[in-house]
Amino acid sequence: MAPASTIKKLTDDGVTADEKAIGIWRDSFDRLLKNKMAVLSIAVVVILFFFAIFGPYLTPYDFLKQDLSIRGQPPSADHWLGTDNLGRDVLSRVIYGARTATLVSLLVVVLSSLIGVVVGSISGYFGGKVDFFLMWFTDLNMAFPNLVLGVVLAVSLRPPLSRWMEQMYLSTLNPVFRQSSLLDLALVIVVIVLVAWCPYARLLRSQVMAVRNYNYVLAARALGLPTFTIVTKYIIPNAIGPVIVQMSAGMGSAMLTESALSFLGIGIQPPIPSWGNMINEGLRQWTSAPHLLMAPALVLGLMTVAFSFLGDGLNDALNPRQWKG
Amino acid sequence: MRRISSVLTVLLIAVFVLSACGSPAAVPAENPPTNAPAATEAQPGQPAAPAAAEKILTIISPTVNKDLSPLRGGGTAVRFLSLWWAPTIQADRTGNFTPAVFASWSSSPDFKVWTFKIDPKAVFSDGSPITADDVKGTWELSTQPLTKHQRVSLFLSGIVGYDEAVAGNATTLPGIVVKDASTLEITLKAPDPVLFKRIATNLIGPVKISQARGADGQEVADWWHADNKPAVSGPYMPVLMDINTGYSEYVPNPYWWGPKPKLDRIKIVAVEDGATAALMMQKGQADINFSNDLPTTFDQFGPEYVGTNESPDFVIQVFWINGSVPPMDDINCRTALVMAVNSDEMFKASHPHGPGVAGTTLLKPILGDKETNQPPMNNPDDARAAFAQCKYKDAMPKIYVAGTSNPQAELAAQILVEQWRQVLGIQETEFVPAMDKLSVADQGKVQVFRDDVGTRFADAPTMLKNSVHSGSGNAQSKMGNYNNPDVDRLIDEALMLDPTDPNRNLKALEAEKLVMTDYVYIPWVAEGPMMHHMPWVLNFAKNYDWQIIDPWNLDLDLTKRPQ
Amino acid sequence: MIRFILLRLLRWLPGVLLLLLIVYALMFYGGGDPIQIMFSREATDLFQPGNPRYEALKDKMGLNRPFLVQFGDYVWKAAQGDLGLSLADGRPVMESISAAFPITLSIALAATAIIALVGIPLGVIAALNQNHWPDNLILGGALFFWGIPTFVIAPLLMVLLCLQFPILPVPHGWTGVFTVNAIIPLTVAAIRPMAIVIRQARSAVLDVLSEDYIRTARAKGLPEWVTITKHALRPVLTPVVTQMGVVMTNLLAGSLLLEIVFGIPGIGRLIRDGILNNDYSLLLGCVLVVLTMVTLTNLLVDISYPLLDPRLKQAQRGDV
Repeated sequence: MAPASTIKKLTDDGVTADEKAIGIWRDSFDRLLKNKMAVLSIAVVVILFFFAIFGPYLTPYDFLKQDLSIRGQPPSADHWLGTDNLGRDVLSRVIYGARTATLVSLLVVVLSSLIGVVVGSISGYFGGKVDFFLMWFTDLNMAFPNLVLGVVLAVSLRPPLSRWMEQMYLSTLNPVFRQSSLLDLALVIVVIVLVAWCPYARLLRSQVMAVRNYNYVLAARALGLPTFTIVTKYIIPNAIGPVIVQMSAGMGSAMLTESALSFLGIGIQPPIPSWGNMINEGLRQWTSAPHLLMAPALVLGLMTVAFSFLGDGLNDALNPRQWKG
Repeated sequence: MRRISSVLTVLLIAVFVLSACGSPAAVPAENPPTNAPAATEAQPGQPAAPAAAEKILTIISPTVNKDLSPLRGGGTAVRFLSLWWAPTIQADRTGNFTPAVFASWSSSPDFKVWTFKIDPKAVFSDGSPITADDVKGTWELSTQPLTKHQRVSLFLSGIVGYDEAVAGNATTLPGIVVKDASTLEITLKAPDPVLFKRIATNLIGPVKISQARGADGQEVADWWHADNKPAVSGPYMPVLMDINTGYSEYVPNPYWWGPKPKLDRIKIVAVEDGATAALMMQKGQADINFSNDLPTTFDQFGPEYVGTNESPDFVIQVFWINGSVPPMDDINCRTALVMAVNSDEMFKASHPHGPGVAGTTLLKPILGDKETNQPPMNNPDDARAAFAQCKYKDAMPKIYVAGTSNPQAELAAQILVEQWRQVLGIQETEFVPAMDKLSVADQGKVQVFRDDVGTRFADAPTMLKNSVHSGSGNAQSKMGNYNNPDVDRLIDEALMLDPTDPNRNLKALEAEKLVMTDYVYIPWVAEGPMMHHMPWVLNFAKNYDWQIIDPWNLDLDLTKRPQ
Repeated sequence: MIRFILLRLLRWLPGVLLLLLIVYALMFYGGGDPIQIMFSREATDLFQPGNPRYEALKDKMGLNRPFLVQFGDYVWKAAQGDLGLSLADGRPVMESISAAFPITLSIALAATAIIALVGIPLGVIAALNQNHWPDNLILGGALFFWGIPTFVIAPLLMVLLCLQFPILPVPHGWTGVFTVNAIIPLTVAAIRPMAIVIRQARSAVLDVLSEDYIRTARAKGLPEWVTITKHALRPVLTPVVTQMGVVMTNLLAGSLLLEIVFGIPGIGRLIRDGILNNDYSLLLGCVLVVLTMVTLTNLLVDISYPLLDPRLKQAQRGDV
């Protein structure tokens, strides 16, 4: 009755699987640290997270506070990124936008990878009709352009949900139902996740398909281990590398999609700042007040670039075969 | 490799073919105009002028208009109406009325029966005369609900039979009688001494009714489309319309009975992005721009362009309060919300350089400073005191603000809700920019609605009739069936008085005072005219209907336009 | 071949129907009352629930029928090319779409052509110079442009090329692929997806270069360019074409942002109009067209595999 340790011996000669895994991770981490762009990207991402968490407490201005006496000022010592048409501090808004973007993209990545991993491993492990149906649905979903889906969802779901929240507030007086920004966030996240899980599912399925017939998995199966244990213990850990790479890329594209939705006016609604709706406001006067456009646009660009460099670095670090060329 | 290159070749050919069919707007310049008999006839006789000397005016429309019917009375498409449709009577900005289709008019001593004479020279672009039947038919068609004329009540309400027609129960107006081919007699339910001013507009200018109206008494679909060769009454006539791209082209109307038009061609292009439109103007790719101001317009183009050197119109922009929806059904809440707002701040944010002035009372733009009521007081302390009495103060319903789709309105609305937040601590508000048109069905949702209202000639009771009288569309929709019987009575009494009678204004002021104690609106701006033309456009002036006055005089100084 | 296409269609068709059903249901239950939307401009209660006029119109439009009947009717009519009337302007949706669609398609095709003609060679160059400066430059540039959203790069290019260095007229509307007006929009449309294609091409070439037969070719002493063009490129194209299919799909639908910024009267702008006016019959029509196009693109990609890689020919004959 000690199947687990038996398998460990089977997989390896001398070192246990756990120890070997640690070794692989350390190697990968070392490789990652050698990649200058990746290190730089990590720094940028860490700074982003820092500002997303603590930023709103650090800025001297309220991101909602309008001060009409200082409307539309260019960058200055008091307001490093200037002020917008309503006299709000642009830097404070960009920093609050970082919180919006980070929150959305983190939740999107976590949720979509969870869904994707579950769907992908089920599909890959069971194969056959289950696989056919699940992959048919995944392909279909992947093919459907997410912006269009977002538009349709936002247009049809937003009004009834917002009416429902208002009714709930008036009957319960619970302030949670007053936070229409929560609804915005939830809608944006749902819209992005609905499409974003597909690559994970595809990825995991191919990994599982490949690993399924390895000796140690066959052995585990022969030993009568429950399917769930086999998948979670032996299959998923093997596939985790590519998933991490995909997560890093997913962060960037979730941020982009969020701002695109907000840009179209169906994502985060003003006055709550999101880089997308700030860009939308800034676009109206890019010729005369370029800082209103450039500040959110550059930060958004920087973040997406950082996440894709990080993804590249991770890819090289976790898939050493390609690294050797 | 051969297969790959053939795939690529096929791809390229597909691009060629599709670009050929996907570019209808590129072709028009070479195509002979489909609806220009004169232009094609004239060509053999006199050689075509060299292309460089052609005077082609380009106007930017802020939206793609799929419906260019002259019978809609609203939307951006009607801003170009005077180019191709003659007004009944032409109004300018200083309150002068000059004959157009109607050469003369008179009324019975009690102002209940009016007679209009059509200019015998007035003809459509197919050469047929404009008859009294055309006018009668046009007006009847405009009142039909399915025609969707947005402003017909401003012009034709009060005519005998009007109420039945707008309710969809009749297709004719018995109050309009054709005396002979060029004479109309109009009977009103109540006296109206200013009827001729009311109907002085392009928005109900006569169309050729045999073309526009079908046997069922309703409008014929697309009769106005250039492809259907509509008989128009204005100095220019359409030769090309692409309603999918918002592009249309106009050439002089050979049968136009007024002074000879000065331009060879007018092009209307739809450019929805304001910044792109501004860039096109700067580069000489367009001459007149009918989009809204951007915050940067003044700095880019100066006061002449923005129109700050002109006096404001009688049109005001107001945030109307719908008193039928919580929390606005409590007068204390309304009082608090109105008093908390400083209209000057809103105006400064949305129109830092004008045009226009900050909004005050409804009648001040018409009556001037000397005899108006006090504007609503902006007083944060009083606002807070009133708010303490508001029965919703502990469970404030969310306040929806609609009509905020244009940039300026959005700025003003941002200031508005921020002042509520700062003064009253009201947190939950939501903009509904898409809902720029409000139907009765939306009354349950929206509490505050930004819209313009006003009068097209300087007359105080008319202003109130259009805005706060319970019979007006404004009071019925945006104000949630606002109905103050005393206000209605005073307005109705004032409207029947002779324009020279001082009581006309006094009664209106009295009515306005009552309206103000109901706290049903937050003033924002008394609008200035939007000029928006480059300096090389000559003789450009608009009236209160946003129509170009004397469109035949519109001209270009090509030497000044950048090439 | 025909059997293959039919099998593929069988795989896609139920999917399209399912998605259409979902979108239709969303619109049906969340979109609002079509008649009230049609008459939203009028402050009249003639067309409100309860009024006989309203009820008559509702009957006439078939809105009193059960949901599935209405959906079936929609699909049946759509199959015959009738997408109903727009709620905002009362015109046939098909008319608007058939005017807008060629524009979107030509942008997508032209951008795809640009992406293929520029992106693939750049990816190959990068791979051949792996980890040297051309590689770093190309990859870095691609990543950089990938990071900038469409709605930012578009106005920036306009300011740069129309105002700062006025070499181009301000683009507005659509006058065809081969006009000056199209230069900026096509650049914007191509630049972001190109980054993906460059990376895909690069890694595919790297994979192929490590294969034995390339080494053999090199060992035979064949000139490098012959090795590359003759042996390395063809297998590279399979993954790249897959990627191009994705790119094309995204271009077809993603032109939403592009068309709004440049005022191009394509499908993207129709979708925007649909949102603004609550015009869900128009929106539904656009979704259907996008779905159809996506399906066809995927079909084309599937068909092109065996053309590019003869090893896959069996797959065409055999079952999928």
